[in-house]
Amino acid sequence: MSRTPTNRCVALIAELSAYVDQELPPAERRALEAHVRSCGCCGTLARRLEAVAAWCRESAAPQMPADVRRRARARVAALLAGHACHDTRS
Amino acid sequence: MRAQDVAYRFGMTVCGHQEDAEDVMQDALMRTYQRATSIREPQAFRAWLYRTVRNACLMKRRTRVDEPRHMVSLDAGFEGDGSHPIDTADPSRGPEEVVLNNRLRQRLREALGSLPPAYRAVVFLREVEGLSTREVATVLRISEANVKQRLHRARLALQQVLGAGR
Repeated sequence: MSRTPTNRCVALIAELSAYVDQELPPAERRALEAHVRSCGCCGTLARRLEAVAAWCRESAAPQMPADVRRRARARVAALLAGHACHDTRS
Repeated sequence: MRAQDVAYRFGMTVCGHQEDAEDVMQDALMRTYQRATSIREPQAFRAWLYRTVRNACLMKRRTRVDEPRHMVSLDAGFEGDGSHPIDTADPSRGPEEVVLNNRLRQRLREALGSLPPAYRAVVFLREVEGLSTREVATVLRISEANVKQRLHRARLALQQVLGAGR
């Protein structure tokens, strides 16, 4: 199994994300799949891209901390209270 | 997920600072409240919210001096000039399994934070929010090809963490 990138590897690298996302047309996908299976470089890179995509889906965006949520609720409450006062005055 | 959660998570991903993300979320809530009566379509509201948060993040960024400014080459998956061997698995062990331990996850988070905000916005909308390439292009007002390119470059930069961490 090849460990050194060839010119073909470098030419195909731009397509690897589309391959990982299964967005390539069938013929292109088959051709790239055959290369990825026989090429250690591209096979490894494709698996890393898959792992990175999975990490992004699961963990890239942090959850809102409780104190931030409390402040946001207080802000919305203050806005609503201001609106109520405005309505009353009008 | 509620608008405030989306705004905060998008703000954190793009701004990279909790203080900025909180400001951005508050700003988005304020604008949402002001526009509440004119918003009819949920989908249109979501796209508007994404744009509002993104624009607020860009305004915040102008005040930050520690923001990295670099581009990631489309060839970045292969180190250097591409002539060096990539660290592959021993073929006798079968397909390499990529296992993310806590250290790698932390380094991925740091690497994501070092990407340009325009890339982080695409990562959030495409990967976290699950928007299609076309939807991301519409929200960010860029071409679909540009969305794919930014996502690919972001992934290439992030995967280098996995290569270095093995």
